[in-house]
Amino acid sequence: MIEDRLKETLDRVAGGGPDEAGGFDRFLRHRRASRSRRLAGATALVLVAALVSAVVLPRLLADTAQRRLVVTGAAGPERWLDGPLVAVAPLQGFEVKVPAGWEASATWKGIELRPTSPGLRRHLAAPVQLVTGLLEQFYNPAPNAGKDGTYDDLDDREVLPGALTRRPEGHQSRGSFPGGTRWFRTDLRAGPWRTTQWHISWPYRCEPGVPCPAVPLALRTLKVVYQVDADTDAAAEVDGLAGRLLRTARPIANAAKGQAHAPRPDCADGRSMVLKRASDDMLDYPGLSTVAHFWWWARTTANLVPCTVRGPLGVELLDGSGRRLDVQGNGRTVTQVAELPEAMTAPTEPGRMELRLRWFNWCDFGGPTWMRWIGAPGPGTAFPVTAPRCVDRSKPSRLMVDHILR
Amino acid sequence: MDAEVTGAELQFREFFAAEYGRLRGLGYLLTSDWGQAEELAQDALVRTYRAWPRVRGHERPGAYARKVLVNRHRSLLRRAKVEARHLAGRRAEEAVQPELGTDGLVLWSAVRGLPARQRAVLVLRYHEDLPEAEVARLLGLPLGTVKSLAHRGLARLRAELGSPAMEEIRGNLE
Repeated sequence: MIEDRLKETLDRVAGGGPDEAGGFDRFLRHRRASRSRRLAGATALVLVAALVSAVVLPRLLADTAQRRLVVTGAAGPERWLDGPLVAVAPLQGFEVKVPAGWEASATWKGIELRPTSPGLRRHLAAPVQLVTGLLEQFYNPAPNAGKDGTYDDLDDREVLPGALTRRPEGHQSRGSFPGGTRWFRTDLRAGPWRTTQWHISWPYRCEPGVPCPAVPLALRTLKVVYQVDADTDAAAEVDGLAGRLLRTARPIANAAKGQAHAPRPDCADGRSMVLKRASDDMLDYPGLSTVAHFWWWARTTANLVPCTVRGPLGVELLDGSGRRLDVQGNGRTVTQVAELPEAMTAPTEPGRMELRLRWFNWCDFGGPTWMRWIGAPGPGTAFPVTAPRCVDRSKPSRLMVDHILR
Repeated sequence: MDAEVTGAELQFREFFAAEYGRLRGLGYLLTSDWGQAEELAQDALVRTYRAWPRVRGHERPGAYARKVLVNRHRSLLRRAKVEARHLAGRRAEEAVQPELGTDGLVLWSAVRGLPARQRAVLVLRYHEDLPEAEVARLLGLPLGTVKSLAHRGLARLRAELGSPAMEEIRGNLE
């Protein structure tokens, strides 16, 4: 049997080794060496732990302090991050440290902050806002810094063309932070609540080769807005935070010399842009006008990021059955229409976008004419329009972009 | 307490004396290298010593040391296949055991030529007299795999013993 022969051979081989003498001494040496290795391993672990505590941990903590909250101007779920962290808003051109005890969240306009302590949060009507925007000349903290004043103090020569001047609400004050940064502040009391706005001048540097936005850039400010229970300690604490934010904010991107601007997001109607459209009211004067006009208007909503009106925007002329009229340029659209800057707080500021189209010389009197806005939000509803008068039957009817004002 | 420690120490020395040779032999059957066998046995005994307060109450503390040795051998095989190949090369140079006789030497030569798992199964099954289930547990293999390895190992030994190569070895020895 192979099994029996195998067992016998294996047993003999296993028993035929070198002398076993000294085996236990070798065991003792082996055991000592093993202990030494384990001790060395433990020592190494201790050293690694010490290294982690001495070097890596502080770096990790430092990294924690350098955690970033980036404002992209895009929609997203509300997400609060505990301080300390750095909030970065390249589209608004600022970077600011959010201290411990506060948490921050990115918004369309910039950042919001709220205290982590529920006790303190109770005394704030809403989160503290930190945003940039264009200020009415009246408030401009730069030329009027250090002076308390009212509307009457304003020097007419300081009013820039196109800027609004209106009486601010509440008490105004002006001053300087240590270091010389000048601020302008308004406080409006309503019941227990005090609404406070702080402004400091915030630069805007145009990119080389790119036209500057047609707005009074000298009036750009960094602003903190909050509503706090005025008769509590919370008021002083939030005032302190506001001052700290404005004192320590750092200009970046479009606010920093030599830095590239962040790519602008597309404007969205109702979110970052107000989009309107209109046509001549020709129904009252049928057949009298030689030209029909169609307008698109857009402007950024207050204190939002600069954005690009991407389009396409246009007009489509239709007959009574929904077919396109035989008009040259009918249905043509315009894309990348305008770069809208940050808006002012009032609705009539410069820098809006206007796109005008003209339709003329319609000599086909076969039936009613309709139009539809291309690029308008919502369903593309058609509206009846009165066609322009026929001027020259030998020439085609044309729809053309008359001008784009950006 | 000291008396207890001393007692445990003495008990381990007795255990060492009883098991050292057996473990070293098992190590040699698995590796064909007395140096490596010694290392495996010492390592198994040091680890057993560390666990001695727990192990000495076992019915067969030797089984614990054997398991440590087999695990260690498996680990070495996994971790150092290159070294194992190198060692395999060294094995051919080792002196054979004259007291095995011609057939024994031929059979041992055939065992050394087996793949590692087949060889380990046969050593544990026929040298250590372990049931197949225990061999399977020690090697971390399914029982069916152990049966298959044992069957194929024995079949290969039978074939090798009748092969021209073995006849040549036999001829050289005689």
